[in-house]
Amino acid sequence: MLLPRSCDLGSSGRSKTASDAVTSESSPNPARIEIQDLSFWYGSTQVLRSVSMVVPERQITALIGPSGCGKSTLLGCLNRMNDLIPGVRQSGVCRVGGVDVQDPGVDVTELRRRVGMVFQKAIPFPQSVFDNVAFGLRIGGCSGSELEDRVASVLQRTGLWDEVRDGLNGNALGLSEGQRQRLCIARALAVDPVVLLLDEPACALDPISVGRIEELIRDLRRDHTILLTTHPLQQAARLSDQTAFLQAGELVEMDSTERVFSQPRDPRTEDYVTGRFR
Amino acid sequence: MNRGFPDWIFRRLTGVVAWALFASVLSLVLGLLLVVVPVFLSGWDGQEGGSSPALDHRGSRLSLLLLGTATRTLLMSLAAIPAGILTAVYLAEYAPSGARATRILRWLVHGLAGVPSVIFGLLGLGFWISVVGVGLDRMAGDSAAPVWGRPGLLWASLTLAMMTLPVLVVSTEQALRSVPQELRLAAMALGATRLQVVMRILLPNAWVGIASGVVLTVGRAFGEVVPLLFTGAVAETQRSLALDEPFVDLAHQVFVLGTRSPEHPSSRPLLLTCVWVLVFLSLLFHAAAAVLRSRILRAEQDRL
Repeated sequence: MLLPRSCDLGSSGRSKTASDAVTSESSPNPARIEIQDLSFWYGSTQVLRSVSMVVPERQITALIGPSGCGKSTLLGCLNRMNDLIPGVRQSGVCRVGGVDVQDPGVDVTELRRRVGMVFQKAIPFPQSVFDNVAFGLRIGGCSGSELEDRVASVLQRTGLWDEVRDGLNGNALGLSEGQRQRLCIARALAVDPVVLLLDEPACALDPISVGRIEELIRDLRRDHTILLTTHPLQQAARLSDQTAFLQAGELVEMDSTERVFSQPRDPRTEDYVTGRFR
Repeated sequence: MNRGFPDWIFRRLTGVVAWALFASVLSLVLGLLLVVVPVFLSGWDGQEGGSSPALDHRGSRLSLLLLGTATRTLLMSLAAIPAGILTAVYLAEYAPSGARATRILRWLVHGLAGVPSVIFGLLGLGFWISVVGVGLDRMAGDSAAPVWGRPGLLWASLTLAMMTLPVLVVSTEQALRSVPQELRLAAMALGATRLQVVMRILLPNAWVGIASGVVLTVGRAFGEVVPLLFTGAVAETQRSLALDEPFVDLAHQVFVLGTRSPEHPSSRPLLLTCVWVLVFLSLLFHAAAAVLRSRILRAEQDRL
C-alpha cells in the first residue's frame, strides 16, 4: 500500500521495495556506512584520529573502548549532531548510503531522519506516550489515523504496546526506566530510519530491562543498520556481529565480534577485552 | 592546623542576614500601616458626615487612574513581551554561542537591566519624544501645535517597555535554558528544525517559567512612577485617554498626592485609596507569580 506523501519520511531502508532496488543500482546500499580518515577536534583536543571503517548494512556493530576514546563523537559525526557543538572541527569523510553527510547539498534534518539516534540518558519528552512516538512523524507532516496507525505499529515493534496500550495518553515520565529507554528507541524508529545509532542504550538499567532492550536491538537488525556504543563488554559480545575497539581516538581493531573477543590481533585489544590495564 | 574561616560563623552570618531581610520587609509593612492608618481614620471621619458627592468624586477619580494605569501597562506589555521573548529565544537558541557579537549583546542586556529607572525616563524623553515624536510631527508638516512631540500615553508605555525589556529577556532566557538539553538534542536527532524545537519543545516546556518572569516584570512596571514623570503622566487632565495625550496614573498619583504640601488635606482620602489599590494589585501579581513558581517546582519533580 502506498503511504500518502506527507507520511513518507525519508528514503526507507526497512524493506526491499521497488524504489529501493532502483536506488541500489545507482548507489551503494542505502544502509551502508563508510568512514574514511575521520579526525575530529574539540577546540585543540583531538578526539578521533584518522578513523576508517565500513559498517555493514543490517548488522549490529559495537564500538567499545575506554571512556573518552571517541565512541560517542564518532556516532555524532554520522548524523551531524556534532554540528551543534561550538568550536569543533572535523576532517575526513563519512558516507551513509554512499552520500557524504558533510556535503553542502545534504538536508541535515532529512539526514537525521535517515540516521536515527538514541541517547544514553533516556529522557522522553514530558508529554504523553503517544505524543512522544508521534513527535518525529508530526514534524514530518503526518497526522490523523495514519499517525495513529504508525504510532501503534512502532509500539508493537518495540514490544511496548501491551504495556502502554491503556496509558497512551498518560505522561511518558510515569514509565519505568527501562520502558523509557524503549520509548526513546520507539521514538527514533517512528520516522523509519535506515541507520540507528545507539549511545549506550542499556546503561544503568536492571538486568531484566537490559535483556529486553538487547532482545529488541537484535530484532531491529533485520531492518536497520545498527551502530552502538557500550561499556559492558559482555553486551558487545552477546549482541553484536562486528566489534570495533577504539582507544584514544584511534581505531585499534575491527573485526567480527567473535574474533575480537577470542583472538584479537592487537595486544591493546587483548588487554582491553581481557581486562588487563597497563 | 589553620582551617580558615570557621563554618559556624558563616552559618550564623547567613542566617542573621536572611532574618534581617525578613525583619526589614516586616517593618516596611508596619511603616506603611503607620502612615496609612491615621490617614484612613481621619479620612473616614471626614466622610462620616455623609458627603457622598466627595465619595463619588473619589470613585470617579480612582477609575480614571486605574484606566490610565491599565492602558499604559497593557501597551507596555504588548510592546515588551513579544520583543523580550523573541530576543531571549534568539540568545538561547540561535545566537552563535561564544561569538563576540553574542557576548556583547548579552552584556548589553544584562547591563540595561541594572540601569536606574530615572535614566530610562530621560531616555524616553530624549528618544521617543524629542526624536521620534518631533520627527513624526515634522513629517506631518504642521509644526504649530505638537501632537506627538510632547509627553503622552504611547511614549510613556514605550519608555516603560524599554525599561522592562532587559529583565524580561534575562528571565525568559533563563527559563529557556532550564529546559533539559537532552530534550533539545532528542528533537534535533529526530530531524526537527530549530523553529520546531523552539515551538514544540522549548516554549511548551518553558512557558511556566517565562510566564512567571512576565508576571513579575509587568507587576513591577505597573507600580513604576519615575519613567512616567518625563514621558506622559500628569496630576490631572481634562482630556480623555488617547495615545498622544498625557494621562493620569495610579502610582504617579500616589507620588503627586504624597508630595503635596499639607495645605491640601482634602486629597488624603484619595491618596489612601490609591495606596491600598496599589498594594492589593501588586500582591495579586506576586500571588500569580508564586502559583506559577510552584508549578515549575512540580514539573521539575516530575522530570526526575
